[in-house]
Amino acid sequence: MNLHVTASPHVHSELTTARIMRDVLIALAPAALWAVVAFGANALLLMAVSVLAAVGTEYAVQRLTHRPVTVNDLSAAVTGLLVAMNVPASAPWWLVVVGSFFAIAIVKQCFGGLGHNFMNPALAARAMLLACWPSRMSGSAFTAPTFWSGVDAVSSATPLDLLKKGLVGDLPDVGSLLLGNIGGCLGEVSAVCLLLGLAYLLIRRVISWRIPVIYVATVAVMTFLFGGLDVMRTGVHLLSGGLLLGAIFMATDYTTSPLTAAGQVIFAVGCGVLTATIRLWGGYPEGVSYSILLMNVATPLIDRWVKPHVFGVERRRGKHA
Amino acid sequence: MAKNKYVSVFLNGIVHENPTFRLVLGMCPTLAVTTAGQNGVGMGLAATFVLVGSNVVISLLRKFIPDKVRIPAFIVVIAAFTTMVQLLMQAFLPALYDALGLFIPLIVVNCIILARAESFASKNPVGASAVDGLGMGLGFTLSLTLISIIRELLGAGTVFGISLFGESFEPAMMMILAPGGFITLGLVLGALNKLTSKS
Amino acid sequence: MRNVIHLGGRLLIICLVSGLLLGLVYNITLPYKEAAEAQALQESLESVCAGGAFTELDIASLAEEPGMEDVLHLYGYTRGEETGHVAVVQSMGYKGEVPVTVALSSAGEVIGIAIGSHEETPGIGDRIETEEFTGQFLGMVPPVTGSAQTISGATYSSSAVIAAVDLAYQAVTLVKGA
Repeated sequence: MNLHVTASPHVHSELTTARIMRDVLIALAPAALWAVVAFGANALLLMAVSVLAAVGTEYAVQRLTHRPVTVNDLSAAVTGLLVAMNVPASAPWWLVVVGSFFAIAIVKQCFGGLGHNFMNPALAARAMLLACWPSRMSGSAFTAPTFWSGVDAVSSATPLDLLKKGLVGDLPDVGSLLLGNIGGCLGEVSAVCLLLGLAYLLIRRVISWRIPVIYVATVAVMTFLFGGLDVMRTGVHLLSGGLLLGAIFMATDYTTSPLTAAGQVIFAVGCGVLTATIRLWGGYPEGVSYSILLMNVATPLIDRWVKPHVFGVERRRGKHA
Repeated sequence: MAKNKYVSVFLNGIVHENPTFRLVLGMCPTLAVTTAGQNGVGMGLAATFVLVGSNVVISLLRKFIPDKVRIPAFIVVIAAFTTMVQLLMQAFLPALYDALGLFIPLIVVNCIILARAESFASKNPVGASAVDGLGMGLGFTLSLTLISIIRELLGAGTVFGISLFGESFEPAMMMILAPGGFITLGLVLGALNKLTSKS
Repeated sequence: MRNVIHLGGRLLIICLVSGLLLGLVYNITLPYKEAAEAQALQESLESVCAGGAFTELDIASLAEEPGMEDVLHLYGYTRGEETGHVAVVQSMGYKGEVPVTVALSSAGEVIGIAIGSHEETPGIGDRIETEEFTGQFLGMVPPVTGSAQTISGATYSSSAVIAAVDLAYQAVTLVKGA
């Protein structure tokens, strides 16, 4: 029997890492299911291989460095699934293996493991994969959903690609955008499925509404003001690309976002401004991954800046006499 | 000077005080030119030439250079040798000159050279200084070559220009770009530290 | 004061000797350097027009025309019976200037094209160096903007090359007309 000796107060919480991670996996399930339905067997393969690679890497790294093996906390599984969600359906299996390996071994374990990573591992992996194999991660790598029809997948421009090139007439209709009948990465296409996941996470109190809502709202405001005051255009921005996936599942990662409510607001606004700026004026059609990564790096600063008020201590106003 | 003293000075530059992995000097060319094996070797040898030359000259002049103006004096000597390397490369190795580009004149501000001038050559006789320059330069060259081989292999599928994998190998482009340089350097440094730590 | 003279004097001596040595090395290496540069130039011209004999044309007056500042060199070539021009121009790509060497026959047809050293994005922009892209220009009669295909995902880089081909054509036309 393991006897832990700690000082009072003794409060028992059911909240474990595994519980939280399991909830995240459940929340991701609708989007994952849609990915398989829309893009076929390769989507399933990619997600399975990615999770296996992530869990396997964590096991191997922890064994090799003589540290306790924590794969049961499911955090590696979540990272693996998110890596798969961030690649196009046409991706080869080795792409997600390398991505998951990088996310776990280098971004997470090299820096101290769970709770010590300084940027979101899955997003860092996405950025790395884009830098290594740009033709596999962007442009013509994206295919339109085939819905298991047996027809060869045809490369199709994503809504954000179309927006960037100004081809507004070719944009898909709202129904397609909401449901997910568009080109894009595996996990980002279906707005409805992702929002279902958000609802689940909020009900289970795994994440707070602040970051997703304020992030998306900031992008909405900026793309409206600077995108020609066009509501439809703004709607397309919100429903396309990795915005919902990033805002719900990746910007909210505990380790890499600020602790305090005020800090989270700053973080979310920062992400939103950066995403909108890159999408509207930058060289890339999509800005979510870089925005979140940059704000991850800024999080320690935000935490330092927004020091919480300690209960009972008087707040110093101006200089004392 | 006893022969084994020379040997220990020489080995010092290659192993114990390897400029890249122990002294962590000369990071700028290390990160920038190690995109291909021959660039790493070329830069390393060019820096070695400058290092040996400047160490010898500064050691010869160590009584002549006044202490107050020693840094400007060192820089002039180093710059002279760097320019010499640049002229020689332009004339006899134009392809390497194009590949290394801006980083050849930057050998002047390569910390290794000024550091060795200041900490060794200005205080030791010519023979030892020459050997120190050679050791440090070769240590630098070996480190650059190691990093270059890794980056070129993963980032372009070749080693010294020879393609090792088949057509179907898709190299990880990032390895020959800036992030690849930092990641490779960090991982190799960590691995070497782990291998050489006693604990 | 004596101290300053002492310090300055020694530094001066070091600088003088260094300068003299460098001058010596410069003079020794100069012929080799020029030979290497001429060789490189010849090779780049040969790559767009094999077996030709080239004469450099004076473009001082051309450079004053609007839009002609990016024309770096202009050569006339003769190859057996045929004559034509080779223009070395540069055009702004995604990350910087892209130097392009274009050989145009006397009929105005592109008979050779080579892309110089550039800084376009590896993996995306540097696809302008591929046969697939450059090959399309062979046989075309400029202006090619609009008929030449850009590389999807590398719009800026490929447009730079297309603009360069047209610039070469304009330069050659101006020279022929002059």
